Amino acid sequence: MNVTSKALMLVAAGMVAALSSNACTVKEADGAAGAGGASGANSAAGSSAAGAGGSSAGGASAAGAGGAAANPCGDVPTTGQCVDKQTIRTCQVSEVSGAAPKLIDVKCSAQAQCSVVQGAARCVPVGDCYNGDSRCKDATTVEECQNNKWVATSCGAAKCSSKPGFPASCAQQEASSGMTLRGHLEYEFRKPNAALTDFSAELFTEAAVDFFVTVYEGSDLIGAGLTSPGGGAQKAGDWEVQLSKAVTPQSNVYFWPMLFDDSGNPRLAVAKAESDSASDQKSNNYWYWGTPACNSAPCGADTGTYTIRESEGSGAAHIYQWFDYSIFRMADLVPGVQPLTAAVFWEGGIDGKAPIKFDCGSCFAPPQMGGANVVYDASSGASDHYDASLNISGSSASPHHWSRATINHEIGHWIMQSYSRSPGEGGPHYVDQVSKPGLAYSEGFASFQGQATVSNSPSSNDSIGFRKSNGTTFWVDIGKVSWDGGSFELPNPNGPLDQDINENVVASMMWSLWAANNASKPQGLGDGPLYKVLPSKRLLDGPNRGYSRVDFVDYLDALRCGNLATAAQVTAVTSDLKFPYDNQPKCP
Amino acid sequence: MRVSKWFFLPLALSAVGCVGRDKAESSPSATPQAAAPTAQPQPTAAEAPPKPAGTDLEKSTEAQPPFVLTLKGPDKVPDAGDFEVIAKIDARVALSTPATLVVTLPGGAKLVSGKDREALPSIAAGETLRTFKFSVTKMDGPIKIALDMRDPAGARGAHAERIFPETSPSMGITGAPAKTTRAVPPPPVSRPGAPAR
Repeated sequence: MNVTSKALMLVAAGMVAALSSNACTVKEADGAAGAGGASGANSAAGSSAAGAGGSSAGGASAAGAGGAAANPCGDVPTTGQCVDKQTIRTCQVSEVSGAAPKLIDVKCSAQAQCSVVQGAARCVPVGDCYNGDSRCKDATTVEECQNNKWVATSCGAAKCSSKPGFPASCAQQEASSGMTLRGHLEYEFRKPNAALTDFSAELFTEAAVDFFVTVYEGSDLIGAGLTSPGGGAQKAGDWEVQLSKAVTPQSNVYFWPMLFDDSGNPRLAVAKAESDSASDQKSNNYWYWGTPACNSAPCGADTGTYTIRESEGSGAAHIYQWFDYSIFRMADLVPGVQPLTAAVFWEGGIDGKAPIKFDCGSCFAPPQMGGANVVYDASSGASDHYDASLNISGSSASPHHWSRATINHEIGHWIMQSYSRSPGEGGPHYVDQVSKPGLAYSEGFASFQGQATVSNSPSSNDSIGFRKSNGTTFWVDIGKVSWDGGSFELPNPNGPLDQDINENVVASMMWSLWAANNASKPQGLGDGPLYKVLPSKRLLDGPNRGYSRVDFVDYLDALRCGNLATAAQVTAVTSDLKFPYDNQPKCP
Repeated sequence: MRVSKWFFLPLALSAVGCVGRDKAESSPSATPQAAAPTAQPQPTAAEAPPKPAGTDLEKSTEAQPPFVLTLKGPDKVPDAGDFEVIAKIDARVALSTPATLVVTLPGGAKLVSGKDREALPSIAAGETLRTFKFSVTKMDGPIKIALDMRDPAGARGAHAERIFPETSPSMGITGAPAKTTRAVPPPPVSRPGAPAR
């Protein structure tokens, strides 16, 4: 299934309004973050789901069959701590064999300081907000952030207006030409070839949904809108913009892979990577694509179809499309949580730039890494602040922008960090290796959720995660990891609960719980239980069992504690792959 | 014939960040059996060698491929004569899934020594080297060497292809060039809602 079809499924699920407003499901953040979702507080509306979780992740509350490892970094947890106003210090336990645990220091940017939010250290605004942010305080008062404090201005008789993509302001009577400009946006992408030996030589196109559209006459903004998810009279990718004046041959249309909240602050955007270091998390440029609104007078109302070519950076569009889809998918599955804002960094070698392969391959950088910044006002240096980032490689040998498995795997880490608790174990890992239970859980969930996201449904699913890195294509079919498969090292059924385990075995067990077919032991639980369990009390701050950090044992316990899966369902899946889960959940 | 240059298309140890470093530290490059390089191997491909790991271990990274295939051969392929190419398979861990190494010859090339098709029931951790000797008279294309790994149960697979000589390193985007008629000036703002540039 392509992502456009997925968008149409959202329409069917009643999410047209959400997509159309580009952010209307976002709830206001609590406390200092205010309505501006970009400020980085990531407070959960109505739950404690956000963030990396409690300090127990460092091992303090470890228990279980395998015993608890002592925290190798002393008092410094994997969720980080503030060692001074500007510095986050985090304990990293590397997956690399023999590598010593490390203490990592990350500096917050000038306008930010370190703070522990729901158990996890992150960079938050020095004051109440980031300079340049704006919001409507009430119906007739606009607030703008100056010197990191909200400054209120009355709109008098006018009303405060805030809408996605634009700062909050006192509403002026908008001029209207009565003219509507419309068109259709799509982008090129590649799929795995039939033999699974490479990406296709052939280019495919699909509709670009939920892209921001602006129309300019010279430097004057004369209209803005969004590309449609489809529905009604519109097809996916169609866009229609009301104009304040008629277009001329000097008018141009620009498309942006950006998602805004209702206060005009970005929740998600794709920026041009400028360094191969994923730790940098900085850029001076967002991606956009532009085309004339009219090639010659008289100008019509329909600009036709604009196809973002691969040579123009359609990889950025492909990444955005999946992430945007996942944001609304998760809002539907687990409502009431304000997830982390995120910048995606990618460069595929456009406009004479060298393509960038990140030093991490592709990775998710959690808030403990200090957050991401993209400059939006070069004259003042003002920048958008994001809680976290995805760094996706765009070289020919590592074209991760075409790998739905890679993109959605990394989004899976964003989901775990936004909606649940991450074990805080990162680093390199291999298809064939067993890993520490925390890392295997994190990576296994990410791979499972990647395939669940790209599937039509539990009964019409795609279990093959296809990737290409360093010139090697490789794939894993998590529906076929089985006892007699022979390719993966399976757990020791007589071993402890906290034994090292292959991440694909974890992914396969989750897949079996989720899928209705095309799995080793399909249970057909579907999205609901598998995702709803993420912000459960058992996972967020419940008792730990098994490994010293949150792991698959805790996930299974949470399913059982929440009556989201039966003992028989869990046993069917775990016993098939010889994982010695005992079905004795420890519930809060 | 002198073997003097690594064709590093896939960035072998690349393996990102600390993996590349660890690999390099734990298993230094083996000396090719055929002939020792007289110069330091130089990466010629698009991607730079991996940087030493810094503070980035914390990030959740993408899984690494089970193996990386690279070719090493002479700087210049003769119009006529013999030369050797060494295929290097780097595997981080031992692989029990069966694989096949296949050499595909262009017109004007003959395989003098080495197998044109070799079944590898397993691949050991570290480096696996295979040396091929070719005799050529005006090759009409590059030599292709491919390693294909398939799990009989269909649970996994991997594939890498390299050509020698490497033609021009393809960097990034390979689609049709942008139509010049679409050229427009940059937008007056760096993003929607931002002040004018």
